[in-house]
Amino acid sequence: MALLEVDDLTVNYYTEEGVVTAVEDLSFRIDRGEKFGVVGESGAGKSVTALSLLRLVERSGRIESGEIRFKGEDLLSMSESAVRDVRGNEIAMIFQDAQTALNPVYTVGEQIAETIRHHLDYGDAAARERTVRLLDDVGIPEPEARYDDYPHEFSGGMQQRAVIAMALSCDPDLLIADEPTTALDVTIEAKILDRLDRLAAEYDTAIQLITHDLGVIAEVCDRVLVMYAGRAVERASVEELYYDPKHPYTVGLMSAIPRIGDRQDRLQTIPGTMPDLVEVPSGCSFHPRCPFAEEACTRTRPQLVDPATGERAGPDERSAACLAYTGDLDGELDYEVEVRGRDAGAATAESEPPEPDGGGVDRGADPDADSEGKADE
Amino acid sequence: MSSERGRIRITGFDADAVERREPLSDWTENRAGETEGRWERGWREFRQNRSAMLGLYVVAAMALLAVFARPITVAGVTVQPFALAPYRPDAILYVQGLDVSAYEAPSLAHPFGTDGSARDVFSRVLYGGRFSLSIGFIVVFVTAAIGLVYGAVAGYYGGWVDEVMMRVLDLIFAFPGLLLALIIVAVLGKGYWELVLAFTAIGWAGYARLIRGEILKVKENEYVTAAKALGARDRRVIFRHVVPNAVAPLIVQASLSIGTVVIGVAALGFLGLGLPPGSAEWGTMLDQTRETIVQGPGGTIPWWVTVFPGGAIFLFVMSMNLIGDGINDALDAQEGEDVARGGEV
Amino acid sequence: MSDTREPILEVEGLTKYYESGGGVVDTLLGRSQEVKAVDGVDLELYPGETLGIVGESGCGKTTLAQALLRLIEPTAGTVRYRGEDLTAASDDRLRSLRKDIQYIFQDPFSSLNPRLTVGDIVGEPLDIHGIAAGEARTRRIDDLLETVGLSQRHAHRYPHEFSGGQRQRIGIARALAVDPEVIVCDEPVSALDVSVQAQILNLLEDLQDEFGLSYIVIAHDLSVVEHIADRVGVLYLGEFAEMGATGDVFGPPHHPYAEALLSAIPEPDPGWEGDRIFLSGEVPSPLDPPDGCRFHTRCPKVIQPEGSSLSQSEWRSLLDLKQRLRDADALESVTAVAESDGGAAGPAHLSRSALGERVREEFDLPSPVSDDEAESALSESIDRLHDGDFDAARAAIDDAFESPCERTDPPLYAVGDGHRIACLLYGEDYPDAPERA
Repeated sequence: MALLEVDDLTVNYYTEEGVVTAVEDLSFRIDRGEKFGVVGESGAGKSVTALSLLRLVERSGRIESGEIRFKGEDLLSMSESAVRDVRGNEIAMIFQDAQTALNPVYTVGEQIAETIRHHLDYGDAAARERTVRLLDDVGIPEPEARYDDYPHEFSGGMQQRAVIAMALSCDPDLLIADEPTTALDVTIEAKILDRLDRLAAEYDTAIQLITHDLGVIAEVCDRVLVMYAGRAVERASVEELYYDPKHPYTVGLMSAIPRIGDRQDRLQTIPGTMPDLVEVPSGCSFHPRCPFAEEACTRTRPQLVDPATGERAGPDERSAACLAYTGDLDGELDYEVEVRGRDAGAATAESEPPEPDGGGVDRGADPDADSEGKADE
Repeated sequence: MSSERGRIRITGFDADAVERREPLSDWTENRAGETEGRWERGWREFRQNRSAMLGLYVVAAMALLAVFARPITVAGVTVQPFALAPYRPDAILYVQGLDVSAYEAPSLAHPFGTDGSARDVFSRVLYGGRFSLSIGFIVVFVTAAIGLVYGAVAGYYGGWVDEVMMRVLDLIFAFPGLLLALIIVAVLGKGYWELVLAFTAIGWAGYARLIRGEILKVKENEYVTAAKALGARDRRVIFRHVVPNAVAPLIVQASLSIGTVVIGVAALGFLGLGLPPGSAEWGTMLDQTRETIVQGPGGTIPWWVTVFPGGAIFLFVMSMNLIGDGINDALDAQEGEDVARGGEV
Repeated sequence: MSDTREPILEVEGLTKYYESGGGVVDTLLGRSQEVKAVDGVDLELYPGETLGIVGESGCGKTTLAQALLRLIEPTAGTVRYRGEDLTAASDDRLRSLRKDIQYIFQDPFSSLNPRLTVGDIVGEPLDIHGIAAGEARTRRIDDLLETVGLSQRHAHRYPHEFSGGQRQRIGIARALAVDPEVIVCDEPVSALDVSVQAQILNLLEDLQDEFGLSYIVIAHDLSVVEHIADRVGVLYLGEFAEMGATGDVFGPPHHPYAEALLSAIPEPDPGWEGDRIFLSGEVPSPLDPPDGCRFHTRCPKVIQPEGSSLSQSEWRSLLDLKQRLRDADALESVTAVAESDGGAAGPAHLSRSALGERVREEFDLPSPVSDDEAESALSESIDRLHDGDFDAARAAIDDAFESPCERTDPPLYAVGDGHRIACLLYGEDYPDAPERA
């Protein structure tokens, strides 16, 4: 049994302009100790997904349907007080803005110790000791002294570290990190991601990392879910996603990021912008921006299918939501992924290396995607 | 594994193909629909607010009644010939030969009864709206304008200018408001324009402080720097970019404080420091008859001489507050909308 | 690139200090401090080129960009545009010079006045400089919108009706309206989504080709700068650490800071296994930047004094200890957190040897360190700490460990054609410094 199982989650927001479906029919699994990435641009529904896992969707939003099972228990049918016990204790959350996550009128140490006392029934001295250890673990220098500092005396990076310490304080089984490093500089980001990675292993915590940054995903995650306009469009292990993306949106995203050292004159782009969720295009919501789109894409809404077989995929299998894999398109997805210096020999342990000549992607030609990914690394 | 960067290269995702082909569906990026200016949107919001609209109707009705209460003559020419009020407000009816005594209870001939000098209360209440309403609007308009300019200059330039200007404000805030107005009236004497002056003197400081705070926020916006980068002069930056974006709370404040001013005028009137005795201003009317509240002539209390002017004050002030709240909500909702569209849905 | 040509923009010794903290009263009493946001920056911009400026938050990027245009008044230095000194120009002259140098802002949400229509926003520069009116103005606005990939039917709409990418296009159209020569772009794409970011970067490049623009692009994202810039300057605490052609800066030899910065960029490639350089400590406050080389407090390659035989990591750790001691007044500041219990009593009750271990553990120092002299100074300092005498502990360590980097502020040394690095390792005094490429 997976640690977290989400099935057919749909979240609506009721706004003045109409009903906004922020998340639609979303299913995924997170295993114990796994690092699961959710990637997408703003408005893709990433944050709403995270909030609904903790039943923290705001007033105007409602979880319409679906199931969220954490360790086999349905979070959506739990009582409010039972959910409160899960929050912070078993599922912890880190937000992008560390500054607002810390209460400015209490010292940083006290806030963390408070959580520990509350959830774990520690005494004052024991909670303090555990807090100092945590602050040390997340890389805050002089933790004894910083225990009594107020949040405003911490720099942005240090605040985010303190937030991570607070999230880890009750030894949660799942840590949801929503753009945890987006507001930070790269040198700080690198340190914090490195730290997060190590701590997750040490505390045996699963991470759901939500970000728009493909670099961060590549560094941290094992498996990835790509979201577009409230729906999952691709699900794959991180190697599969980067070396052999299957959904045109993923392909576009991958080709649009400037990469250091790729010596490209001009960036490839995805034309247009993500649709406003009030009025999502018919059929495949990516069709107005997709160079491979055809008439069929405006009529049929594609389901997540196994790109090799075209069969409907289970919630933890490699899949992509594109009509090309169900044989509904006349044309081909004729893009190519070339990975310099990655020949078959160097990549034996990896899942399905693309062809060394870079003639990579001929659809349906790479059967049985190895969804284990780099789980044993 | 490699330590070389930029190894992945994707080709064939041809964005231009999307531009070249005919649109597959009629979906477009920008939603259709008429574009709406800020004020149009605000008005739409406001109109949906029932209590605010009720307030607006009441105020409009009172204003019309006041205007059409008696004919208005400018330099001998009658510009407004209608007379909704049957009598002149200062007409002592038995002097005019009518069979009316003081403190006559409401009747068909005198729907609001008569007061101690046998004047028609209905006519006086209608006509009195002219004083209360006009003082309210004039004072608020003048104070808001002064406060706007003062606060904008202080907030925009900051530094020394701001420091000095704000200390002047502190000086005004150091006086209890109504007391200061009272002193001014006591010194200058009673009269319409004296009242306007008194309330203006105490009223503008609040707006100045409000608008300064707002300007400090607004001028941090990049579009202000952008205007400077384009070579715009200070005046243009202030009045085209800063003030229009800072003015919303001022409007809310102004609409709410019209009621306050009317109450203040009434209060001074009640203290006998308003308009000259005998004026048909609502507060002064109350003052004239205040002894009757406890003990009326002949042991009966003529409730109509206090209830109708008092009720007029109440009705007007409450309606103004409803309007003010409505404006507040309408302008607030816009801000919210802007933010919602900017962030994640 | 073309250093033989005349630079279009030439900046010398540009400096901006902010008064920090307090209002007029504090200034009068001399209580305010100065934030050295930009401290003596030199740069040239050649016609048609793109100069990228990278740095982390707080390094003075935006201040530099705005001081260049005198959007904030620089404290010192000159900015010459085609030979004319902007810093000495009168207000009127400056206003007309704004036609030649334009600015694109970071935040597409706050950089457009929400109360004006797009047409009025783009038309504003035309009004200010009297460039076009009436029919001509409308035509020009339509042209501009078309140029940046919008359509003329957008002119009557308000900014809130547009997405982030479209708003940034509006901002670009506004800057183009005056037909500028130079555009300073302050984080032009950092607020945008990946796919939109690529569109805007391409647009900027197209416009450069079409109108022969010169750009100064400020960004924190090195991959963006690498993509768009011809030359790059790396800013650290208000000074350039490295400056050169893009290829040179992104390849060795590096300034140690630039090297660390580059290594930290997350690579969108799960198979990438480059070495990360983690810098110790945090960016120091610009209120009181370090003496000598501003990077010495965090530099992994900080130079050892002559005759020292410490390993580089030991040396870095010793300097960290020295910095930590500087404002320490409790042993907790310099000792590692106790592994298990025992912490209850606190480090003040530890024996001399246990204290020594805890200090070494905190700073990853072996016992003994590989240089005898250094070891004796370190022991001496720990002895003093054990006595509770912090001043003596400081003195013991201060004298023994001093890097030349703490004393000398390195100038930008030329290491190649137009490639300059402000690091003593590349100076004449250290011809055989191990890191010199």
